[in-house]
Amino acid sequence: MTTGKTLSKKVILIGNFGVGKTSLTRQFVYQKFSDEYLTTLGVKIDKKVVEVGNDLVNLMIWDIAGEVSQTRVNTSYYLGSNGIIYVFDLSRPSTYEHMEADIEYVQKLLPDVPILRVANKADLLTEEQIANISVPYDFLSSAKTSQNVEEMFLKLTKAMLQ
Amino acid sequence: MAKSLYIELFEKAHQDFVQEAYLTILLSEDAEILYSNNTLTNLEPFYGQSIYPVFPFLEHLLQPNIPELSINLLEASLNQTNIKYRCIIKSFEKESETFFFVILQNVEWHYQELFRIQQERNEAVISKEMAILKK
Ligand SMILES: Nc1nc2c(ncn2[C@@H]2O[C@H](COP(=O)(O)OP(=O)(O)OP(=O)(O)O)[C@@H](O)[C@H]2O)c(=O)[nH]1
Ligand SMILES: [Mg+2]
Repeated sequence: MTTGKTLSKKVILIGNFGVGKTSLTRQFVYQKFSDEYLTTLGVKIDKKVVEVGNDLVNLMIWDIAGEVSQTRVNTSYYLGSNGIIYVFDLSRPSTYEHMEADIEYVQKLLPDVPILRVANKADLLTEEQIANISVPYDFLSSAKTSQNVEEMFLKLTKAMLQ
Repeated sequence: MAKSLYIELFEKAHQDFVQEAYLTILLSEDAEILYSNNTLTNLEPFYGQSIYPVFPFLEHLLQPNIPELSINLLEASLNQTNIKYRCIIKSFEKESETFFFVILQNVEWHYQELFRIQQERNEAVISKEMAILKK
């Protein structure tokens, strides 16, 4: 039982195509994973209710089709976002090379919105290979093994409530 | 052909290709359902209630300061089925009240076509990258 309030928050997942945005969302919302790649067109929207303390948070998850650069994404998708997850694929350097430029661009559109950098597909690399990756990130994740999936969404939800 | 027949043809075509293809909804500033053509889903029992339980994704899209907003491809569930929509939202004022007019078009056919193109493009780029990395 919760006695607190119900809030609604919009989270967007952005990043290059094939990095695992849909897989992370699917793991988080439905506890499922598939190895088959089916690209997302436009945006796919899912909902999950998360409990934080006494409050219920309606998370509206906007899983946006990946682009090589975020400047190509229709800015309507960003509208009213409360939190951002930037996903990259540890096994493909091209997916994190433009991360900081992308994030700078998105932060101009959405100032003061919390953002997480997520290094996905950790299951594909050895610890040593991971240690050699020099870009900064907040979470090392795997949509396949569910490593840190719940954790990243919860951390972002808490940050959005502050 | 007589003019009256053209009108009949037009009305039939309008019914099949416009009325049946687009769900249109008039909303108040607080997202209350005022009126709809009830295509795709019957909203009549919900008149006077919020649209958000039916289309949660609208919650972050209704912005009175934006006169027109369009999302060309949006996938969301309606009564447990996933539907691909094109979504257009217009906001306007009448007698100093704000209203929203929402147009949702089912674009499943369009989706299938675009999906094939984007899937092929992405797979080609990824496998090229992987081939270079393996060298
Ligand atoms: N091994 C492994 N594979 C993953 C992981 N996450 C995603 N994948 C695979 O990577 C491919 C792409 O995943 P998606 O979730 O569709 O990627 P996306 O970012 O949504 O791609 P777009 O919709 O095209 O932008 C699929 O074949 C997934 O099975 C992961 O953590 N580990
Ligand atoms: Mg996707």
